[in-house]
Amino acid sequence: MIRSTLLSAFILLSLSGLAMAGGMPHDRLSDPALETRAQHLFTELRCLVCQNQTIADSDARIAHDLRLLVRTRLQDGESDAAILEYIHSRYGDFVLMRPPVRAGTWGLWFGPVLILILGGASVIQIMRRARRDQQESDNT
Amino acid sequence: MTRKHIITLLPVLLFIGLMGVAIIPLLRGDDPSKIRSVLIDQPVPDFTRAEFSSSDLKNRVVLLNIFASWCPPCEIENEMLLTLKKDHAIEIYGINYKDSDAGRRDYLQRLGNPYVAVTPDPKGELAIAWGSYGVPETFIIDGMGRIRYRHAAPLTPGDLEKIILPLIREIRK
Repeated sequence: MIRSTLLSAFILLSLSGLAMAGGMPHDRLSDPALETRAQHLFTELRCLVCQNQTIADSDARIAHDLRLLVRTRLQDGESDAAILEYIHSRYGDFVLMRPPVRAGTWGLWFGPVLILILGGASVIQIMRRARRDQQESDNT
Repeated sequence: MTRKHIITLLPVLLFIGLMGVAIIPLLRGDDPSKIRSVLIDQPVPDFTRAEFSSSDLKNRVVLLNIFASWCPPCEIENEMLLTLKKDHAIEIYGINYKDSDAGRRDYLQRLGNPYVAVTPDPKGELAIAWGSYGVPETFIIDGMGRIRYRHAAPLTPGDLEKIILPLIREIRK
């Protein structure tokens, strides 16, 4: 009795995991190669209404629609790049988990590196100065 | 001010700058869940349906509204759409997002039908073509078949007076 309860709980939990990984099992494409491409594309696309979740992770209606669109277009023989480009043309940079590098997004891509360099440089400078002060006080 | 001072102050200035970037949109009351449509000033997406096609949205100012019978804000908004139709003679085309035929029929019968034509979108692909991310959404299309405005929320009387009607008047000039 307990064992069968545990077993069914295990099966249900495993199924819910599948459901979260890009839709219900019955939505999956029968061709495993296409389904792998679909799953990859899902991780490249941001869900529009859930702020920083990919459409693979989201339960939102729009995420479901986008997954369906990706799968349908893959089955129609479209390339990954063409599918991403179509969705990008409808929703803009926001929908891409990795927005394109261009003048408007330089801050996004290189800002953190710039801050790291500036921060690192000032830390090194402070440490150098501290050591010099130490030496000077040792000499006197 | 010496060079040393400037270097010491640099992190403080950077910090204030970053704070500004983060705080200004908050003070302005921007809603981060609202995404500006990239389709503004772009031609309407190409589509052909039995009920209407993209070519029907050209030659005059029209509205396109995405709605569903299961969407309570759409029900409230329907009143505004009826006002636009009756009092301002504005043609509204409808995309019925992920709905059933019965649901749509009952909804329009119960609340009144503000649409010139309605096309069902059971899989949501037409909504994606319009860059929609929820219902209701309303687009204003100018006489040249270009999208001029997208409203990603239910229309209120205030929206009609302050945004929709002034923009339509401006386009028609």
